Amino acid sequence: MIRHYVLIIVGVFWPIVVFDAPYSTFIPLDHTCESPAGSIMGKSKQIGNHKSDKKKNIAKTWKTKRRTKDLDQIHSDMKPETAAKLLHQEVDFDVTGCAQHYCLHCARYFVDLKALKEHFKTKVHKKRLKQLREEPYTQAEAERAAGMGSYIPPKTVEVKTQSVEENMD
Amino acid sequence: MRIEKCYFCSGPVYPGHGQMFVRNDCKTFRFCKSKCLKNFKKKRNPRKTRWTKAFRKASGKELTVDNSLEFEKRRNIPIKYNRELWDKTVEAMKRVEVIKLKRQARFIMNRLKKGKQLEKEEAINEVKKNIHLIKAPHAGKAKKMEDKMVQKLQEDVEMGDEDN
Repeated sequence: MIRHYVLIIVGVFWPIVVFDAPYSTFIPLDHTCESPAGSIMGKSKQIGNHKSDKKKNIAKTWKTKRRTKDLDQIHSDMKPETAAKLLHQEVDFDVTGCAQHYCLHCARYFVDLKALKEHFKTKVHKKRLKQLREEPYTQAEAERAAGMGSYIPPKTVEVKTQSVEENMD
Repeated sequence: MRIEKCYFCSGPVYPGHGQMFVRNDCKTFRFCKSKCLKNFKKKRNPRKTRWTKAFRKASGKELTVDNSLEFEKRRNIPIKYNRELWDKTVEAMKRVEVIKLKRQARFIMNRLKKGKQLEKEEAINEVKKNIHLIKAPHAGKAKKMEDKMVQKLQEDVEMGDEDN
């Protein structure tokens, strides 16, 4: 499981000494203007403040100690080799359901197959699939946005709920 | 030494400033201010957070594709100091900056034109819809009535002529 994240508060970054090497010689520029269209605002995930105990202390869920997998980690988990490994784990008595029923996209363990299948029908899972359909955000994209290179729109990735048929045997 | 870019908002992270988050798979993330770190911890998507550069680029609010953006790059190949090259580079940087700013400004002005056009259309539409508030219901009708009366009188006269 994901535990023990290390947060280093860096006062000084300076041991990294790599020259940001010079600009290439000046080339006359020609003008291009393109604007990618379409954007969606992020909606607040919180709907109401009752019923669920999980919502009672949101600050706690944001602690790095309880940090869950990020979307880019899940994207790397989705590669066939790692996916196979995660879906067929050895019996581990410390993990929910002995680590036998794992949802790859939500990075969650379930007690049994029934619970896992129920989970596939939920909003949380469907929402997660939708989020995963976009290529993960990277530092390179952040740098491009800061003016180091032109904008490249994120690609879409096809994501489907894992098949559970094989587990049924 | 290098000025890094913030993972979340793409702002500059100067040496001795900001925070670095090291995930347990050794991947590092640099943040320029606590606001960015907090938003990262909340798992917000920079592409969908209004105030980040990534959002502004993704939604076409800023100049995105241009040759003037291609000069500044992360270059990991160290180059031996050469005074001539250094001078030339500094000159080029200044020139590129001027051109870049000009183009960005032009892009924004062009983008705003669309809004003005829409505003005008909207105004015309509103007037058309609510014309009854401006124009009196019988405005222009007096002339019509007069014309009609004249026509009728003429007809009557003609009829009278035929009778005789």
